Amino acid sequence: MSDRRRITAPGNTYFPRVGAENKTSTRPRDSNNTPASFYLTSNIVLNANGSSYLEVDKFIIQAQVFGPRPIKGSYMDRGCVSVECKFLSLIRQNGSDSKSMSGLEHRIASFVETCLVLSILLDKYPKSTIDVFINVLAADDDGIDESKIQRLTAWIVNCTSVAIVDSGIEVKDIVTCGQTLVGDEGTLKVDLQGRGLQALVAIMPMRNDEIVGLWMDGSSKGTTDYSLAMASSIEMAKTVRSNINSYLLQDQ
Amino acid sequence: MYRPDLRSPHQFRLLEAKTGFLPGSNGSARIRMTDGGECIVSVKSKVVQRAQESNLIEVDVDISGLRDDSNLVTNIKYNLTTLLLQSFPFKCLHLTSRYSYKLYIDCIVISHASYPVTLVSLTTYLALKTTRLPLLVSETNDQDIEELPTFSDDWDDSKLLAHMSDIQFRPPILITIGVVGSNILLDPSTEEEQVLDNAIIAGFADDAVTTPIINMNLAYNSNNTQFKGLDNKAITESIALCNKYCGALFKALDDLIDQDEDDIDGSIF
Repeated sequence: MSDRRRITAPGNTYFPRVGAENKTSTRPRDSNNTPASFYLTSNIVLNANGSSYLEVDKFIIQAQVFGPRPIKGSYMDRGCVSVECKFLSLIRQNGSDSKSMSGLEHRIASFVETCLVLSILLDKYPKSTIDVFINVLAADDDGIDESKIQRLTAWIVNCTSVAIVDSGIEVKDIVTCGQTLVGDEGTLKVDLQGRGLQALVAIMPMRNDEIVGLWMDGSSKGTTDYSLAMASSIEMAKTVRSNINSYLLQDQ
Repeated sequence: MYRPDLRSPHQFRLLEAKTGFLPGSNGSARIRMTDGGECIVSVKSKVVQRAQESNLIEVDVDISGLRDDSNLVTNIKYNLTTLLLQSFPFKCLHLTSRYSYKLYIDCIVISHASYPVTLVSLTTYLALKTTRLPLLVSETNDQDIEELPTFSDDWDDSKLLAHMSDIQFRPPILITIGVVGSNILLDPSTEEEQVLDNAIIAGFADDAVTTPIINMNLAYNSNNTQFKGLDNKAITESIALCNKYCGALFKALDDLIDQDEDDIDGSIF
């Protein structure tokens, strides 16, 4: 006899596999010189002017663009850009109280804003605001810390650029970003997180590789490291750009 | 190239500094700039078990008139913390094999006209260089027998943090570099910041540029019409200029501390 005190489900139910191990495996990369394979799609949020979704390894990023929207107040002859980045509360990060944006979220938002301000033709949008919201939906199981933030930021910039294109906002060029890790033994590893010198470079490839975003962190051994890491990051940004180009051409 | 105040490209602005004036802190410093910028930094210490602490330095930045969660405050705090965690000589803070000092660095920017990261960083340098810590009188080896560290009651016995280890004590600093066309300027003034093509914030430690190295827009409003991208050459030249001249900054600040110690009248005005 069934227990009548319990609300039992209908007979044809099934148990969701919550927390079950994901058996799908990612294909190993050819070498340290190529970026990881990524899945990218756009126009997924209907009420946003532009949106995109990117999966790379265990990172899942979503970007939404609202605007250009009119602003109240005094006349401004150029548009302004605001960027907000938020990790889902289940992603652990250093020094976050989950109520306000943490230091890492602020740093990412400010880097993305610097890159976008240089690429968007703000003169075309007077008295307007372009609001970008970035959500990091998933990250590594052990959370986000300083050794992973550059790699995550590189993919956030790439994802946001596609959302900007999706919104139809006029840009000088699509910004793409590359990241390189210089290990303690001096080896360059593209698109890899870890301890060592981390170089993050955002460029506009069609404008003579103009550098719109630069962020180097971690331990370094000298100026040569900086130049090599920057050159390697620029190469990755170009590779990502050609991938984004082919995606956008297919998408049309 | 001529700068509005006729400085050389590598020349920093004049500043006035005072150290060791907060009686309740282990170290303190204040810097006032000619453009009205003013920053006070206090360094306080606490004895902690190293194994239980993730960081031996905690930084807090407060800028007058700005919310603690504003972009400017959080970015300066993030950059300063990253710089200190990467380049600070933590060996100076070790007391015994188990215990260490933990430093709490509180920075208050009372007023600022230009981007205040270098102002905060230089004041932090002065406060750390003049930080005094009580003299340890117990054993330094507590590996076999656990013992709480005990200190001399006499403050006259206290030692400068700079003298706590044999290595040269030079806390790292952050430098602001402006890029306009092919020109590179160190420590741009408020007027220069409004017309910069781009700006780079770079760490400097052990006579060389260190991380973090980041670019940003220093102008008041984010829709600065002058703001442009950088090229590889500008970044390399900026690093080279810092490597060449910023070592002298440490010497100037150390001289300033020596002069200030000769001029102790208990007043900061």
